[in-house]
Amino acid sequence: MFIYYLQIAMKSLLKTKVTSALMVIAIACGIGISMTALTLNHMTDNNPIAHKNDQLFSLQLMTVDRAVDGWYADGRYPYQLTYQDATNIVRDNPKMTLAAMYKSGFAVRNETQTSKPFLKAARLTTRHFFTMFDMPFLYGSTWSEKADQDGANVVVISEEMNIKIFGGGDNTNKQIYLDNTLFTVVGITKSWNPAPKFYDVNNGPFQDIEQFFVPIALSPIMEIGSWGNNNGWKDEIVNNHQDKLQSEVMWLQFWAQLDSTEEKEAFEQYLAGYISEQKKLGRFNRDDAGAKLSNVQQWLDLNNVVGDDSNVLVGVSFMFLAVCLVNTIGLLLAKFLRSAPEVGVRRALGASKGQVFMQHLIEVGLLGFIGGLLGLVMANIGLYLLRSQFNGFNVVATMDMTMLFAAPIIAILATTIAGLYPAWRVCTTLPSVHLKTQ
Amino acid sequence: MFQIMPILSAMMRNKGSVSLIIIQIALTLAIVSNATFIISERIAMMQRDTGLPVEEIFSVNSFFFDDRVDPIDQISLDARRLREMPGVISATSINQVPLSGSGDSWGVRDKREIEGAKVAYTGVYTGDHHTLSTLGQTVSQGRDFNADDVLHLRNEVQMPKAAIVTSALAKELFADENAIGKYIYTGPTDTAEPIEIIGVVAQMQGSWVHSDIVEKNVFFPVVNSWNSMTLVVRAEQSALDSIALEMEDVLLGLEKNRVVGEPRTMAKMKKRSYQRDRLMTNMLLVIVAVLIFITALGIAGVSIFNVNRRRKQIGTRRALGASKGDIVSYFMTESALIAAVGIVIGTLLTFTLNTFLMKQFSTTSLSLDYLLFTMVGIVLISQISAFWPAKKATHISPAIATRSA
Repeated sequence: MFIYYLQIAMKSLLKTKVTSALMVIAIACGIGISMTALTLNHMTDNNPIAHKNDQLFSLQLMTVDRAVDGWYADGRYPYQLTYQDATNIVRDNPKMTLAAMYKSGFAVRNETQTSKPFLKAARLTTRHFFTMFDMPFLYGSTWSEKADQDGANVVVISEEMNIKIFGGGDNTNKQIYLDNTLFTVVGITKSWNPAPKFYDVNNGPFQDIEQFFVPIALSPIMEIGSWGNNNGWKDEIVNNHQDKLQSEVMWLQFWAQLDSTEEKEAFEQYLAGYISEQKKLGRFNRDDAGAKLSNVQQWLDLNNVVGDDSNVLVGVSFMFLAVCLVNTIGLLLAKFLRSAPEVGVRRALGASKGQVFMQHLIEVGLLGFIGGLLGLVMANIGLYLLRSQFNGFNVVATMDMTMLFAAPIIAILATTIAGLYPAWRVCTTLPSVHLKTQ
Repeated sequence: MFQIMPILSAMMRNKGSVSLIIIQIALTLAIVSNATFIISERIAMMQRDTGLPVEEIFSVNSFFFDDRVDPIDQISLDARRLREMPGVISATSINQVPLSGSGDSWGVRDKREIEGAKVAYTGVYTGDHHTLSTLGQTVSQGRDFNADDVLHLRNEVQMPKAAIVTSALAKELFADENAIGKYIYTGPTDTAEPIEIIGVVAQMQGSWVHSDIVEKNVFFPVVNSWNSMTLVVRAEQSALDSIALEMEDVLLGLEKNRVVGEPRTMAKMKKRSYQRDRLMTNMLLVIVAVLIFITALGIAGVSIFNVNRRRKQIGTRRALGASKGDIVSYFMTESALIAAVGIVIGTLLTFTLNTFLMKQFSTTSLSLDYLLFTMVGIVLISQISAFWPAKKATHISPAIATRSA
């Protein structure tokens, strides 16, 4: 029956080619544009580590003693930590899975210094970074606990850099120059590129992931400066790297893996103790000073990774889709009512209301399906244009499977809903009215 | 001419398709007036005067990884060599490049004591006495830096004695008073030393084009020794590409123990800074264009439908002596009435949408011009879309009245 109705629907659509084409174009435009906007939104709204969403927490501390030009007023916590807080907390909790980190970079050369040096971003962090964020290793592993405590010239590099420097293969225990220091490669990670870069949204949520990782304990030893945001609020003198390590400048990201509620509560308790201890030392002078833990999704929301523009575009494009559908309803109504005499004959010959209704809805669904497919093509052209015209949209502006299936389904659903009224109108026409005029 | 009553009764008998067109017009009005408002606001922002010779500037980063190289000596040698290149107008090292989206910002104040001082947040540019000319700036009051003003700091700390500010910063700190000879301060009360304002630059945008401090900038005659330094070159536009191409070789020829980055033109940095605004305007423009097209089609479609349904009625009227003009004006009036109702509902919808957008963006409310223009546009479109089916209706023969179907 369904196949038969589909055949009639096809025939009916072909009979009124111009109207059908107009309807398909209207649906395709609506779907194309709203899918483009939705894909952008969906991909930026992505939580790349959703499976550990409730285990990973980003830490914020209210170290700022006074609101600065409106910043840090009304309970808005700074996004980053000072070096002293980040390293103190790691040192106080040796058994916990914690990662203090910041972005930097090096001039990289091979061991013989024969290659032309190239500049690459690096991340200084603790050994737990890789397990916390499920970063897979191809060869080797993270560095030792001792390297975390005392610093050591060891580096974890990415698969891409392994190929670029060594041409591939297991190259653990080989050495490379970072700036003018020899580092031993202890691990090589598999290609990994989460978008957004959830662990450091502060320095550009869609920037590439770093491809060199070294122990953060090297920071005071090698005086490795930050390539990211540095936010100071205090009128203090920061003339060199050592000053900065002791200062109230906020420039580190901090993550904790807390596997259970008890663990989280214990950590929160520790933080409360840490803050009161620091208060005695003259820091954390605000009445509302405290610590705040956000899970990954809360962290992405807090940092407004999706952005207002993106939300507005989705809203406007769905209003646009609504106009396209209203337009389609109008055209459908016109088309169906024109075929009313024909329906009258069918009704007189014994077709039930339900059958006529189904028949028309299937026709509408077919229209939606064709419009949806065309819309999908248009959305992909739209996304292609975005990728070619705008920087940093490579990862974002691609459709994943969810979106690929969503488009035709949204199209069919939307047009079917739109077609309910015209289909109902046509099946309620009295057969007698049309039979008379024939 | 005025056949409103019969038109209304005809419309009432055809509520379905009429209300659909009304909804469509209302939505179109709301979307188009708000979208064009956002578009024009963003375009106005992108077209603001930067105060910079954007097309003549590029920058290149030099990263020194060898401690034996003195970055200050090297970079001044680099700049001197670059200034000798044909086509180059000026070159120097600067801590940040305007319109680039990254750089330094400090608070400066008008008194030594933090208590009671007026604090202004500002983009901070440090460089030597070639900085202003390289950025295409001329001092509108006071004087430019000279070589004696410049401090070269190698791991030592010293605040400059002189500063040049943009007029926006001067105005923020000293209102309408003349800023020349006044002092600004930065850092803790006990160590803040007076920095004399020796010059004012009329206007220059800084690094963060979306920030409200974009016009507030200060120049300090200080060159710090960093391992990563930025060279800025201003050259004749025609020579820009070839100079950028030679850059890496020239710099590596002077000192090879460094990494020379990709030259980046200021035009490109500017484009990148406004990327999300361009994305927004482009998408909204597409939506507006397609929307107008679709609405026009919708109005035309329903008019055609109406004409077809009323063939007999039209024929009868013609037989009773209605002129072709009467028929056309009948359908045009009907379309205008529908548009009018749509516009009334649409106006309410427009303000609802605008209130929502204001909450999202915390921007100004919709200027009424956009609403009015969109209204006029919609009336025009509805008239044009109705005209063609109406014209077709005049071809209906009066004889049709005598037929049964």
